[in-house]
Amino acid sequence: MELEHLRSFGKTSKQRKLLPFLFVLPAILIILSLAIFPLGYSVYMSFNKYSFLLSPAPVFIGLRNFIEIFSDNVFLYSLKVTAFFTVLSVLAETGLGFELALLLNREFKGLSIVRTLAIVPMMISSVAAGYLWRFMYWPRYGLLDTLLSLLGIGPLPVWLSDPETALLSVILVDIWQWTPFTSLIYLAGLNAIPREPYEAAEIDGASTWQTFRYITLPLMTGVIGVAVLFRITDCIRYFDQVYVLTRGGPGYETYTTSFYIYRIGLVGNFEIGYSSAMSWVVNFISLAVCIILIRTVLRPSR
Amino acid sequence: MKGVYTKRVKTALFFVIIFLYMVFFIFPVIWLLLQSLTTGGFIVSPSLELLSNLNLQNYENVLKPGSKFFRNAQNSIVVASATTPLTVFVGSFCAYALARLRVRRAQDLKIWILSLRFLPPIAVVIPLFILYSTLGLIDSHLGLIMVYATFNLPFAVWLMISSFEEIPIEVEEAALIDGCSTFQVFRKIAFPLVRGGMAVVALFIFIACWNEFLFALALTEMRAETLPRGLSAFIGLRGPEWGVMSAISILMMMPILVTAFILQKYIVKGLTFGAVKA
Repeated sequence: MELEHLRSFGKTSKQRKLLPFLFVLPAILIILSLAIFPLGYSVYMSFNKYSFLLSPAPVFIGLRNFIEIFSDNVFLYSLKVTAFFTVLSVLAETGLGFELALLLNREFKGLSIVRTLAIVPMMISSVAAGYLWRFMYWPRYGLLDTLLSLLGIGPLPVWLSDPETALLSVILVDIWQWTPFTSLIYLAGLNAIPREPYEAAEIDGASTWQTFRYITLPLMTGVIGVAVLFRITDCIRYFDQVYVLTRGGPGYETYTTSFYIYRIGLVGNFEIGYSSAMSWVVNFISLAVCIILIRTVLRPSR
Repeated sequence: MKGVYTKRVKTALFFVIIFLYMVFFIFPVIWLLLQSLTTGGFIVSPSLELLSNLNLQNYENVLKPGSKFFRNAQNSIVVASATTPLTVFVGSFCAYALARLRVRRAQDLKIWILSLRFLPPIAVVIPLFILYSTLGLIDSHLGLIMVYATFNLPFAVWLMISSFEEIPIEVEEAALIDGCSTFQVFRKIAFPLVRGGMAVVALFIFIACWNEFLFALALTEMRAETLPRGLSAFIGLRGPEWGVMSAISILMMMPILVTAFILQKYIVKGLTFGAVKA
């Protein structure tokens, strides 16, 4: 908008229209071929009964997949697992990440070392992180059990195999790995806040809490919204560490929806139709959450 | 005197909290490192005895010439280093047009591209598996590169738009008045000014490709298997060899950590996503 004259500067009107088009074309082509086509195909498949291994061709069955989904107890349970996982992880990562960002947003000796160490977890592959935590959680000999029994705490659960603790243990791994990421985003946000409001607050004699409540927090709403948006969508797709840590077990305690769809669609009989239908249910949920977040948190700040 | 006292307590508390955070973040990694330096084939409980028996045997096993680790590493390097420049360049062109040029329905296009970032990969991996089976792209570098480019593009476009928008408009206007064409303005003025932002985007995309698991699991087998997939399937001759797996994990994170430390300063700067508007 602000660039009307830059935009109208091209030499001929033809060039003016062609160049922007050429700039966006490669991106659009890539996305069309590798995202939109598969998505369209999976819409089509969700109305079919089709197993990659067992059936010769897809059979159109209308909405029957979707009807089946809502009486599929494992799927419904996996939604519950995913929702619990998402809420707990995102809350913890937002709180801990923000607190850490506030701590790191000042000068002290060793700041750069601390900042560097703080981003280590998010640089590690989720598969490696999964193994790392499997060692940590290892019954009796693992670091966690050794330390806790040194402190005289016990009897200890078998973290990843106990239905009571399995999901919480997996959540802790996610918090460990992604708190640095939220913290980085908040730190970037804190750095970008202008100085003037703080100077004004100091002159007016505002307390630390008032400054935080009425200046920092409102200015950071957009940034918090972005971080939460990223984390929620990442939690909804959560797959890697479940695969490495628990394979969904014990029972269905850590079956996230992504993991269940994988089990149905990409191993065993490759139930393409049914798993496509499930993935569309997840897409709609993910999309709905995003739209609500963007409307409520991100819009007003722009 | 009371003021000094509370100030000291506060400072002490501050460092205690920072210390606890660091223990939480770093201790597991140190534990993994120790695990990779011990042999015995089984989880070893922490003890002083452990520390006196550290050796590099696991690393020697992993780094034997012609080992699976090298093949996987080669695949990871090829895929990540082909995807990164492709995505950064395609993303930058698109971002510049959306930030500065007249594109019809630019706002819709922007939201359309960004919404892709929020799509669960499991939703596309199944149809992609069918598509790739038909096209013979299963277990190929090209197949993985194309998927990774597609799904990292929204991130690149998003961050690059905010980088381009941070350039003062006057610079570009001056170049236009001096007779540069729009393309010259992009190539000679805007492009060099966003190099810092591009480095951060490149780093994040490289990390994403290097660490990605689900697509690699579903779309590759033996030939194009990447490091995370290889690690996830790693079983030694006598069952899981935790020491060797730890060594692979450590080796995998090394290049990323080194690059991230070098670019650390820029990382924080580049991550506002244009979301702070005073």
